[in-house]
Amino acid sequence: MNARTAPRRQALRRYRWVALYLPLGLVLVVAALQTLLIPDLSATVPTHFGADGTADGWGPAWTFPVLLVAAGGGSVLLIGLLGLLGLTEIGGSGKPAQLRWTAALAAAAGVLIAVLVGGMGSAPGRSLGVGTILAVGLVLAIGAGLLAYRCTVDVAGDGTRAEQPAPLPLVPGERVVWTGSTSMGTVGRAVSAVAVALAVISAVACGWAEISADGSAGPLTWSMIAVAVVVVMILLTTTSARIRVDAAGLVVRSPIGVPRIRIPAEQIRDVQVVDVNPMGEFGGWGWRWAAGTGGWGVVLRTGEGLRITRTDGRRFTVTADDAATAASLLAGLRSRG
Amino acid sequence: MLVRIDPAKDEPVFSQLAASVRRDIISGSMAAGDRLPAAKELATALSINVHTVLHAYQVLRDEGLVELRRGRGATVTGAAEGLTTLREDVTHLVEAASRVGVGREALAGLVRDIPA
Repeated sequence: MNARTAPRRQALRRYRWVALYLPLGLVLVVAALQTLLIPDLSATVPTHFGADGTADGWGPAWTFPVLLVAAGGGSVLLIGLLGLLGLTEIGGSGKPAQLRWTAALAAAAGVLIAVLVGGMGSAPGRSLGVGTILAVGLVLAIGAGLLAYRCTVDVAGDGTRAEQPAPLPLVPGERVVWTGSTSMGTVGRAVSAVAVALAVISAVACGWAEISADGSAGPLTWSMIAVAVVVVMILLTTTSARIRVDAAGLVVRSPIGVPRIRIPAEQIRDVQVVDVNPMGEFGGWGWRWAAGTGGWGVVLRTGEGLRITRTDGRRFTVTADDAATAASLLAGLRSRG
Repeated sequence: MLVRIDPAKDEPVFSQLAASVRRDIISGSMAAGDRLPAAKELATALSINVHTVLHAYQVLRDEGLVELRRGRGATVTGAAEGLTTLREDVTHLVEAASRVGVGREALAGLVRDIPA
């Protein structure tokens, strides 16, 4: 533990600077500069641009600094703090926390929003086109992300709970199946509910605005409805999953059948019961891929899970209630051959 | 839920299947409202006829342990909760008996001698 504390503290310090302090500082500085510019600008500034790049919506001059602090600061805080949450909670599996990805994401989000909102608010259609600002913002954001990735380090987990299950004794000819499930915790469900509510409210608000303005629903409304449908589909497939272990191997699928992952019994080299920390190891919840040796994971909540190592060395992790029984059955089936 | 059957045994497969699911329900690894796997899924996984699985589910329904609804499949009823609680009570009873030196057989005798 002591040998690990110093590098861990250093990694944490770097992470705080790269993912939180610097992006937040940038957002605040740009917002302050914009506020200083307000007397030089006209009382209203363009806030919305049509497809051809000309302004078609106007708002008061203070719109941009406020938007910048809310959207930019909010995104950086959200992403950055989620990473810290993953680090402080990182539990037993001994896998490195995916700090670098989170730091890259936070830095990129901060730079992108600062450039977009800052650029549009300070040069309202005078010198730079919307497309140029967007392109510059994307390039700078990718650069900032790469830089943040280079500047941070991942840390190892605290300890290990990776148990080799005792094989379930099986009589020759006996047929066995284990079925189980895994579902998101209360926080995950609450976040999902908020996401659905936001998507639906946005679609309804756009529809109401467009219909009251033009008498019919326009492209914005339809795209918001499409977004809402996509959000609902994603949540339907990621809030819970069903798991089955039988002589053929392991199957994990969403309640509607897709996506699904099947690992044939003959490809399973090793089975373990592990403690899974989705945020720390996979950078989030759901159907995830972890860099390094992590491999794919269907990780919906913190806690007990099943980890498979395939014959080709690839890994697969799924959180599962009663993972011990599933692992013991897999081991039993394997030893029976 | 762990289901095991052995076609080589004399006991019919549907009865083995029902017994296996019943054990899972009574042990508390399936709670009220939990859904049993679809009959088709279980039949495929165990390489048995889907009607055999449905037969087992009907046995459990007749015992009041599961509820069969069209479109919703089989779900564990609240009746199982009583059995689970009873099982826990019996576990406590066995522990209490062993603390005063009464073995399981003697305890079973005590249970038989309690006037109805």
